[in-house]
Amino acid sequence: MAANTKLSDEELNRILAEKRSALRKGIFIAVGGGIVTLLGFLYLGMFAGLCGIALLIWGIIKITSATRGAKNAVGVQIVTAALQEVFDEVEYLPHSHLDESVVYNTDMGFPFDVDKITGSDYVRGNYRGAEIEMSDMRLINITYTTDSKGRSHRQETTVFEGLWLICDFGKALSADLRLSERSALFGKLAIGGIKTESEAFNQRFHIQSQSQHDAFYILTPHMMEYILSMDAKGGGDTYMRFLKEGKVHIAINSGRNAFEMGSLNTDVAALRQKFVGEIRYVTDIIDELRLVDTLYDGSSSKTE
Amino acid sequence: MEILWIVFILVAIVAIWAIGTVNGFKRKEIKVEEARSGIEVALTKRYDMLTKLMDTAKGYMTHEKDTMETVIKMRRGMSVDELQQASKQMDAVASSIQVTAEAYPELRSSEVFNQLQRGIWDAEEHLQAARRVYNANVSAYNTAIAMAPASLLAGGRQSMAFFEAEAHKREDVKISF
Repeated sequence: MAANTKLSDEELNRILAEKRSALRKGIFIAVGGGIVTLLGFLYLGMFAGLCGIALLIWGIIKITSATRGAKNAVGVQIVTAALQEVFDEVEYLPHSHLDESVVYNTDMGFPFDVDKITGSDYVRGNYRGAEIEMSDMRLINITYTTDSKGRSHRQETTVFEGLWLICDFGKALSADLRLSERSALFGKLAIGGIKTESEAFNQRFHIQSQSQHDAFYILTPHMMEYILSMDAKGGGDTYMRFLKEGKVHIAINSGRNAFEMGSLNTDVAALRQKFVGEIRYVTDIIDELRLVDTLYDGSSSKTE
Repeated sequence: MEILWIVFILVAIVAIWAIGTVNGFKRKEIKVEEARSGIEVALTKRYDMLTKLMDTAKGYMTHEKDTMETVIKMRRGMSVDELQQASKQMDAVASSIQVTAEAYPELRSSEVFNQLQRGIWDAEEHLQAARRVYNANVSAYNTAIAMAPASLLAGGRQSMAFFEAEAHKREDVKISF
């Protein structure tokens, strides 16, 4: 995290207002540039068109600079302060993400291939004894097609965008378990995997484990109810992987990024409230998992 | 000739369906049997933990130990009814242990005793899971033999009984420290 001087809310609001003004100017310049480009190439001539393109590029640079500047100057301060209230030994890197090996080595049961990974808002810390790591992740699938003239085209499709959370409670878990959300199309058929007594859960999730008993041991009625509720609040497909060595991975394909400033038509208090709400969503998940006594292998402990 | 082929194909389709359906029933029966065995394992573990607990308590729990040894007979291949009966009897013993432990603070403060109580709680959680697995497989089997047109091939197969859990069971076993 960059070492910034802590600013008061008034100073942060002032910076936000400056960035908002810069953003508006950038939008105005970009739109103007776009119009000049169009008119230039249609009526006014090549020179006018090129000037329009230059204006458009300048406008886009100003927009990017304003939003990135707002995030670095204001967002990081607010997010860091909010995280430090909740987590111990917190580290926040707004432009970093979880290591790519996490995605490739943790079999989450995704129904798609991943060829490229980007992300942001990496957080690492300790929450009530649980080590957590999380970030926004964007997983991309790359396909190559050949047109009728034999030319190869590369297409990137975003197949996952959202939160990836890793919790390490410091204890071995009782079993390996994987939950992956079924597609709406095939959910009703609920083919394959382990079936619990909850039809709603079976239709929503594909359950895989070494044994049916292990799956039922972890997926108590209360746990299943909570996972369904968490999935409803997440706003996207939920994937969970319980690893026997002690880590729980949760990936939510919500299409949203955490800790985003939005349109900048806001103030520091509203942003703080928004970010606190996003953090609380994560801590609620950790609190709920901690309560599930059957999650942990009582015969061994990773600590001492 | 063509009609013969059509008839042959239809008969083949029906035969494949019939074989698949009957094999499906058999697979579900095996899963129910496996799940019943899971309950047996969980109950045996609970029995062993209760026995160890009473050995630790020695003089405090002579009556409970006698009850366990004379009334509850765990063996392999018990039926669901026998397993349910054994489970009820263990609930009564566990409840009696709790009452006895409440009367002797020195017993309750013993680390070994507390560890064994935690072990009993864990055994109970495994029993709950085993019961749910059994009931889920029984439900799948009962549904399969009842649904048409598969029910035509069910023959003499009867619905299986579920493993019931008494409402008071969790209260009895929840150990307070």
